[in-house]
Amino acid sequence: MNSPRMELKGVYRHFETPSGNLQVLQDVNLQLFADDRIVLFGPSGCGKTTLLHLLALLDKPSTGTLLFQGKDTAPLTEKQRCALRAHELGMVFQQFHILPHHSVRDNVRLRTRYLQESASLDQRCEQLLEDMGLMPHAEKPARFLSGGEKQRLCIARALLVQPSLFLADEPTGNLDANNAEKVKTLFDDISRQGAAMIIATHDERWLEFATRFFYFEQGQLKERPL
Amino acid sequence: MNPLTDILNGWKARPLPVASLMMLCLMLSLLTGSELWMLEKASSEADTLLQAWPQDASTLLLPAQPNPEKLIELTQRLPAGSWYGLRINASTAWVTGTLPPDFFTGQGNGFSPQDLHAGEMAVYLSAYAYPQQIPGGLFPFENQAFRIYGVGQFPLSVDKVIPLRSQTASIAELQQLKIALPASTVEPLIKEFLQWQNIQLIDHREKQQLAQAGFQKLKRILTGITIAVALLIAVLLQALYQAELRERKTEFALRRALGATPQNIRNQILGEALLGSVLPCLLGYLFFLPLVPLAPLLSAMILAPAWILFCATLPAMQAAKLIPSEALKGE
Repeated sequence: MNSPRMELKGVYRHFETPSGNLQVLQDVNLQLFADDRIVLFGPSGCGKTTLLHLLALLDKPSTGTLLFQGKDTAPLTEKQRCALRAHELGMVFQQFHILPHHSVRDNVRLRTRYLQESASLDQRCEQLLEDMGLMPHAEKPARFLSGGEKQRLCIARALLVQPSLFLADEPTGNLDANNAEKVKTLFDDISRQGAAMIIATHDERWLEFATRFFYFEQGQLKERPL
Repeated sequence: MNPLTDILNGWKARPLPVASLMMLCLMLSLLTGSELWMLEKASSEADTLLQAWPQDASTLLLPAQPNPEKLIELTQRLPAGSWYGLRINASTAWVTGTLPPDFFTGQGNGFSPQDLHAGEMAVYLSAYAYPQQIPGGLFPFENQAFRIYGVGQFPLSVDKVIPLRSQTASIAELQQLKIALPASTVEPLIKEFLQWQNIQLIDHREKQQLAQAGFQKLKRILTGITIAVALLIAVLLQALYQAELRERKTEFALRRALGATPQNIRNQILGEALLGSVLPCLLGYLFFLPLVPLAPLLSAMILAPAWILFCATLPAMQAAKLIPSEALKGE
């Protein structure tokens, strides 16, 4: 069996709040393989986004181990974490988080500012713009895009480097049924290209897309057979 | 993406804060430029004054009708072989007898104001006119030998004449004479003489010291104002940056999520600050280019953006330390 792309072992995550310690994740164990399409299900505030941020190396566990391609991420320097984020991870945020005054193309290419070698990505960027149907808007400031187009922009931005791990937080939360269906098709293509995928959602329509299904119960991640 | 394009696009997104930053930089450059100009003006005024007053010299201002007898008496009371001079307002110079036509013009006498030495007492006699031009005028030092000690531009300024105890000195001989008597010897005599004549003694050394002290005071005041302005601008910039960085928290978090290191974020903010300050500062200082010497202006052109960079450093470091997951959850 392949070694997992990412692995969480006994991960806890709590936050200090004025009313005390807020335990969000408790003893989370997860192995994520190359062909996985994991759907994380749960209501708002259950810890989906926290888990995605841990997997995206945007956050660190309070306790527990997070392994990326078999290597513990705890001893990594911030620079090494940034390099992993730049080269290996793609994340789509629920609120898009685009740079509204930058052009659509510049938004997709934003990551190249932080890569050592980015010349080869020009063609990839054009291809993604074409694939996502954004080419006619490539020079427009991103703020003029519709919700569906913004979501596609975010997906294109996440896919620029062909990430080995693709994370999506409520990818269809702001979209109508038609756009949601298009996103699902896109994700299917991404998965076929070899990216391990985790989608956090409370939209049950994603279940048919998933190869594995997880849900949160009192901060604990539990797998349910499909 | 080109970092410059990135910064310019970012500016388009935040025209008001960027305009405020640029206005502050322009204000800083205009204020410091004005102060440099004032300092330059004061410095050149002080230089003019100091040049007009001979170094280490006193001037005896005679009344409109000086008493020649008293002057002669004073002369006689000086130690034998010593010399002194008197400065007399040209319009009231008393001239008697006949002096060589080039006596006051200084033609060929070879002396210059630099012949005055530290610690020497010099009192000048000045006259516009040749003795021939005021026939019958009185000269208080009749029968005295005179030495032309230094000559100003005839007839606009004052000639410097030293009366000597010697009766026979010619101009050629006088050129060989060395200044011998220190101010400390002559000064008490002059002061005593002043008591008889109610004549005002103006000591140029005191004036010089006053002028220098005044200039130093002005310099201190202007430096104080510059520091106050710089600090005020620093406070305003801090507030502006803090507000702006709060607004841009999500943008920086997104950049971090896409692989930006804390150094990338810090450099971006400092780059924006530098680019945003250099242009208005240049514009502001260019205004003073014809008024202020280049050296202080160039220093200011470097120091002002450096100060803005310094002010941006703390907010830039704070933004670099931002925890991306918190900022991305925030919205």
